[in-house]
Amino acid sequence: MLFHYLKFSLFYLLSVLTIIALLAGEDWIALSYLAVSVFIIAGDAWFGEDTSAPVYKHPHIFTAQLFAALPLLCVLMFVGTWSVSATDTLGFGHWFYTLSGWDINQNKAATSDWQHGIAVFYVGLMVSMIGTVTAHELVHRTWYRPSVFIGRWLLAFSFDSSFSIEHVYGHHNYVAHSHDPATAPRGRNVYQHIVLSTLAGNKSAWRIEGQRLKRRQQPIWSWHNQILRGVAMSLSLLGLSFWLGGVAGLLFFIGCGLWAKALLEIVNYMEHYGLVRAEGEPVLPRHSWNTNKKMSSWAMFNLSRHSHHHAQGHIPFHQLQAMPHAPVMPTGYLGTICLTLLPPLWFKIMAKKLHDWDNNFASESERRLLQRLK
Amino acid sequence: MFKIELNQYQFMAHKGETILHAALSAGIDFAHSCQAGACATCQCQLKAGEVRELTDFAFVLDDEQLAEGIILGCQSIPKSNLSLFKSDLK
Ligand code: FES
Repeated sequence: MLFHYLKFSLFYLLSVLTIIALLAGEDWIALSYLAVSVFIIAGDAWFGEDTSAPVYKHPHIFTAQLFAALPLLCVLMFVGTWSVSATDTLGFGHWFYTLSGWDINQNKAATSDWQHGIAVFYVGLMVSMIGTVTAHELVHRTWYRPSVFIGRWLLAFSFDSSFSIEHVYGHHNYVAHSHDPATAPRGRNVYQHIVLSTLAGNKSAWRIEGQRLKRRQQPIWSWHNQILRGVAMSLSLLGLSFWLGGVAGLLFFIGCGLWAKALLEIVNYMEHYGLVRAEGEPVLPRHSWNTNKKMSSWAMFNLSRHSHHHAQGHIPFHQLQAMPHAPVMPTGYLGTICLTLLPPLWFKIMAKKLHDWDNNFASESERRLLQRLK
Repeated sequence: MFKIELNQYQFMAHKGETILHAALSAGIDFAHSCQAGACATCQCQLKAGEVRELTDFAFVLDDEQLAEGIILGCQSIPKSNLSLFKSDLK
């Protein structure tokens, strides 16, 4: 049983590895990025699936772990902005040297611009894993304000606090409908989806929040507006990154945040690509692509058990079921992300999967809907 | 503990328990879906008493519904004894 608690700590390990790689600088950054990616992708391929559903007697341990993501992300982003700043920000390097004898200032000076560039993609991936994935779980717990509060701050690192509105009050109601911003229709490539879903998702969040404020007779352009508060949160983080790392620190932060946001949209893309739901049909496991691959499930708090998550959005991650009969995405999360980036290959793989979905999962009315969409 | 009257039923709610949870525990077929305050399936009318809103009902209930005292069962914690009406309850 202890193992089942420990398995969801994988992201701590990966974050610590990332922080060490940033401190070591030079080629250690790329090597560590490669090692983490191979570990997850190959681990998913080799170690197979985790379909277990143990009953956890101490779920508050998981809540504490989710909350701990915020300080962890702060440390990661501090080290990241420090690693690109022209000076030894706050004397961190010197302090670290006196503590450990490891001259990280020297490592920093020896790191080239392109190595810092790789760090942006590496840290962006970690912002997505530590920040967005945990935030997704937290903002679903709408009934518990501290959870939503921390979730929104985690999302602010990828300029996306409005996700807390659009995802819960929009996407979960509209999933697999043609007007859902996050559900990609057949034939749309991932690069189009990143742009279109970002624009439509923000527009949808603004509409939902505007409607709420109107009903409460509160002005749109005011502190009551959660979207504007989210923008202010992201701006304050940008200000902090500039203060800590100058222009380089600011650009680093922006780059990581944008890559993390793009990853969120890629994940939306692969979770619902090409699926349809007839008007009036309830959201069922067949309306999401699922996977039970071990590394993806453990490193991402069961986000991979997406079929059950959408069918019952209020269920905390540790109670989600594997749903072995749900439609399955090509492989684990990181592996599938890589596939989406190659549209011709993606379309080829998904054509078969969608054919199977149409024949074996779709309801009669969904088949008729698909005929009309052709 | 607070006493809740819902249509023809009567049941008790523990401290901090939502109306929906208390109704389901009492074996009442109280319609619900998202349980996150996002779909309004669990809506019912508050005829007497006071509740604490866990989430803002205005995300899913319109002006008219709010004025009529419609609340979300899954996001309401009783603060007193309650009298409720749910139109789709058999
Ligand atoms: S069940 Fe959806 S709002 Fe209560």
